[in-house]
Amino acid sequence: MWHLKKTENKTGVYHAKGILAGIENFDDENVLVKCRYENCLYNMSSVITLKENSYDLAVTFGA
Amino acid sequence: MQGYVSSDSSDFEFWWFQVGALYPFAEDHSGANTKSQEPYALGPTVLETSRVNLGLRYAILRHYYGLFLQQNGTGTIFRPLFFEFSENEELYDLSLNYTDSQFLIGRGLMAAPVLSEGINKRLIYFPSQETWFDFNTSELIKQTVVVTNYPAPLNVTAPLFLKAGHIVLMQNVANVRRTEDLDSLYRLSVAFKKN
Repeated sequence: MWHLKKTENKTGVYHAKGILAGIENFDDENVLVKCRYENCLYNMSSVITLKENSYDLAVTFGA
Repeated sequence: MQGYVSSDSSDFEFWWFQVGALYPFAEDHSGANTKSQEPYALGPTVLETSRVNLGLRYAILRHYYGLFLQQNGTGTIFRPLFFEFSENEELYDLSLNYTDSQFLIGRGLMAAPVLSEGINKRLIYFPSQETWFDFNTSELIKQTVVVTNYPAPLNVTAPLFLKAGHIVLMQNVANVRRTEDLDSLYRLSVAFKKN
C-alpha cells in the first residue's frame, strides 16, 4: 500500500535511494559471514513521475 | 542511558530514552547503590517514552546494520553535520547550540534530540543545500536554515528528519520485544528528490 504525501503541487521526475541488509537474523553468523564476508547489502532505488493528476512509481531492489 | 554510575533525581531520564534509543549501542542498566532503571520502574511517562523510542530503534535496526555494513568496518555511522556539510561555516561555531547537539545517522537521517532538562522544544538547524522532511509526520520543512521552537515532546521520538533523496526501510514492530520477534513486514519511508 502506498501513501503518497505531495508537499507541493509539482510535476516532474523525483528519485530516492537506500540500502537493505538482506539477512534474516542479526546473529554473529549472519552479520559477519552472510553480510560482511559474502555481502548481503542490497541497493534500493525509487523513481516517481508526478503528473497533473496521477503518478507512476517504481521501486527497484538490486545487489 | 544515564544512571549507571549515579542516580539522577530529575526527570531527564525521559529524554535519555529519546537520544539513547538512537545510539548504535544502547543499554539501560543501573549499578550498585543506584535506583532501579527499568522503564517500568520509572513511572508511566518514562514507560511510554521508552516504548515509543525503543520501538523506533527496532523499526530501523536493519537500517543501522545496513549502514554499518556499508561502512565496512571503518568510521562511524554517527556523523557530525560538518562531515556532510563542510562548507557551512556556521557548523564550526561551538557557541551555536545546534553544532554539537545535532547529528546525522548515515547520510540521510538527521537527529536533533533535546539535551537539556525541562525543555520540550528546541532550535534546529537545517542545512539549506538539502530538502528535509520530518521523519514522524512526513511534513516538509519549509524554513530557510534555522527553526526555533521546533516541538520535541516526550511522547514521541526525538526530532528526526529524512533528507530528500533517501529511503529508510522500517520494520514492523508490533508485538516485538526482542530482535528474534522481528518479522518480514516492512515499510519504506521515501523522501523524493527532484532529478
